[in-house]
Amino acid sequence: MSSLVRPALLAIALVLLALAPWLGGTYATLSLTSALALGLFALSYDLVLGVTGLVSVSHATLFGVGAYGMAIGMTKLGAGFWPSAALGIAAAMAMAWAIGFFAVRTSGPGFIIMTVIFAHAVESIANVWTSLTGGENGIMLSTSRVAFLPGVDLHFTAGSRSAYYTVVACVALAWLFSRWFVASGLGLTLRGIKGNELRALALGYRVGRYKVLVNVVAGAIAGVAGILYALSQGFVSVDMLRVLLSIEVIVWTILGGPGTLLGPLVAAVLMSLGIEYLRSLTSQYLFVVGAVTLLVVIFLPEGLGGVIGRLLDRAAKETRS
Amino acid sequence: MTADVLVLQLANGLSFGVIFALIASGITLMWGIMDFINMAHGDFYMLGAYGIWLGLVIGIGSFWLALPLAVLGVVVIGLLLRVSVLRPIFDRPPLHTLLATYGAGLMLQQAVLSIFGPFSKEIALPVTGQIVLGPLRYPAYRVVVIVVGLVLIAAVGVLIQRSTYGLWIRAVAQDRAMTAALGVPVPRVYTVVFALGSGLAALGGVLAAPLFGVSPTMGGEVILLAFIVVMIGGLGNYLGSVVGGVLIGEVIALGAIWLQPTVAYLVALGLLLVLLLVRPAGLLRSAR
Amino acid sequence: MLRVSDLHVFYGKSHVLWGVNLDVSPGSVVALLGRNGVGKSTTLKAIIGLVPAHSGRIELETATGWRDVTRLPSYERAAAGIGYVPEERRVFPYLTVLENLRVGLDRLRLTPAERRHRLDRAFALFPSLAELLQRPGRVLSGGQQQMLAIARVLVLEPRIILLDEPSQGLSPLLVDSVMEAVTRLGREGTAVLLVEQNALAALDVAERGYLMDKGAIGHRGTSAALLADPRTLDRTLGVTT
Repeated sequence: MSSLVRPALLAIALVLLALAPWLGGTYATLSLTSALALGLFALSYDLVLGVTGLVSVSHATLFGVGAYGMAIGMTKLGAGFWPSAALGIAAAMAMAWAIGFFAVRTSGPGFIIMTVIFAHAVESIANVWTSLTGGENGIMLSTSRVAFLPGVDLHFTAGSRSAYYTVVACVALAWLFSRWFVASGLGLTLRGIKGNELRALALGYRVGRYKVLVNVVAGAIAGVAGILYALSQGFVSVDMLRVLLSIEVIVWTILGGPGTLLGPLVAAVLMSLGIEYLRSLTSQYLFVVGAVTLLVVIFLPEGLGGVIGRLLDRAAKETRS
Repeated sequence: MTADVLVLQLANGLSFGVIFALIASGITLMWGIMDFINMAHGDFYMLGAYGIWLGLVIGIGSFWLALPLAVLGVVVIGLLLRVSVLRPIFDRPPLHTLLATYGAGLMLQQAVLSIFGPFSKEIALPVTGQIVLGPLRYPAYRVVVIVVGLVLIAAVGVLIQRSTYGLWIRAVAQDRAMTAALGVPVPRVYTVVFALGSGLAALGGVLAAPLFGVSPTMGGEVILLAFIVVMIGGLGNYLGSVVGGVLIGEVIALGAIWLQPTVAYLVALGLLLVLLLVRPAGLLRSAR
Repeated sequence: MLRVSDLHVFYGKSHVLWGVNLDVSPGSVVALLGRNGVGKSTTLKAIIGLVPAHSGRIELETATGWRDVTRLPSYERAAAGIGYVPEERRVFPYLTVLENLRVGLDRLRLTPAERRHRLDRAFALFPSLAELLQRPGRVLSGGQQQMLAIARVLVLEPRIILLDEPSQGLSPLLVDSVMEAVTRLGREGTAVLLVEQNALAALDVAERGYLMDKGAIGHRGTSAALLADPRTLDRTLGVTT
């Protein structure tokens, strides 16, 4: 019985996803576009935390740096969209490499603290270097009308459907890539590192290098996510690279089920929509975010996926007997 | 730049350094003994500052009388946190305690924000005037900060070396399972370490309050540097965090002569990165 | 003094102890023998609580009767009277010899005279320790570490001492003095559960023995009976008598 439920749910979700812009209004489409970009962000993080078991608290740094790279390219350097996007992605990858390089030089817990240090440092610099980053207000992307392909323009902030489908396409591509990546030899090695790092070391794998590698790959995808998110919002701000966001993506990944790829993606989409709704209700939404983080850790460490999985299994057992 | 300015900044660096050392030694004790990453540590510092402000506002006339009360108040909050939130996740991996303490810290910050408002509060210097040494004049309060801070750091150090709980703290840091197998009540040792760590952070906040003001985000501002200090001094190394704290304090103060504060932060980070390349285990050999 | 009933232990998914049953009477020395990897150390670790029991019971005879310690944390079992000397000795590397002795001793709140008395007893058994008091654990030789590991449990005056391969890595002379210490312990009323690969040395000082094979007790009996059955010893231990 439960073997039919999951594909059915998936099919329903896909249909809803495809029809969303027609079911909701412009604002809803825009919200969903942004949420999907955050979903892509969480998907990339799952490669780091869920697949390789690395607790990095600097992933939002890569997300934000990617977006800022693109924004600075377009506004300050006067470059076109594609070169700017490439700049953003390259910057995210370089940052990912640098963080990884130093973080792997410390022992286990030091890794976490090193990523925290880097994330905080970048956030502080971004806060202070307002001439570059625009501080709290950020950099407005004067044109969210992007020359995507010759002759094809995309409007992002207008809540346009073409933008929505572009993001959906990117998410789908990234998901396929990630699945392939995880199943590949490289992915196998990473999962081996997560399972038993000492054994991987004993077998001769240069574990440090693999960790840096996955951070860079995930960083590239996070950079893309950052670019898409910034385009859909119409601006980049330092909120995109806050430690808070790095922590939130960890919570989304845990909630969705680390390593499942799809779980963190869905969790991120739902949670970010929820947070946006919450923000419109109260200015104390950060308090709620803190409380939710705490509660998820205490009560749902395996994530909702684990709980739902257990419920489905129990239902399956009952129908069998 | 004259010698006067240099000496002045060296002294400033020492006063920053003492405050960083207080915060960092709390982090390193909790990490080294309990494998515990406390993301709310900066908020204990912040609560200490609010504690002293509150104490003075209520009408406890003397700063020095309100100080131990403020510290005690924060320790109580910390222990409540430990009992309610941290006990259930006692044996979980560091990721979970990281998230839980972050969540708790965020809640504390937001609570303080909504109760006391976002604006920075001022506290009058409890000791005014300057200390004069020949051609040099230095604010008396800063000297007091340095002295009080160093005395307390030394006192804790002695406690760790001489007292029974200090012995147990060191034993747990070296081999937790064996310490338990010898009958030592490890959870109680953890509680002591937690109280000690949060108390030190709170003390740092109290001492810092007249110098830097009291605001809900002051914890976030220092926590980055505190973590850098901990990494430089070596995770779990008490002496290392003290030395590292003073070192970073001096780097920032001296850096401030020529550079902006954020750039000074960068220098501290750069120092850490260089050290990591050269000596991954931290500045000092494990002097447990 | 100690009763282990139907103890099962898992390491992750691996079932390593399959229903171990043993008991140790007060003041007796009992040997737990077997080849490498058969589960002897794991049994001791489960008794002291370093490794959780999946099922079964561990009971300790205290002044107030038998106590089920199966679900208690290590430190409570130690406080109840179980002493443990691990295979790797695990002396605290950065604590001095005296501090190593004090770790367990300080909990007991003894008068200075009582402390002195207990330390003297330990030094009577291991005289060379008295000269090494200020040395940090990590500079001691293997033999000295072994003596320290036993001494710091001794001063706690436990009801039963779990000794994991005390003779390992020691010269024959030192092995002799350790075994002599074990005999003295038994005579003075402390129960001893002795895990050893050196079966002959162990059966020399023990009254009874258990032979373990593949995570369970295969044979049991008095030392005399076991020694009189060289074929079984051979099979389970790979020892030729």
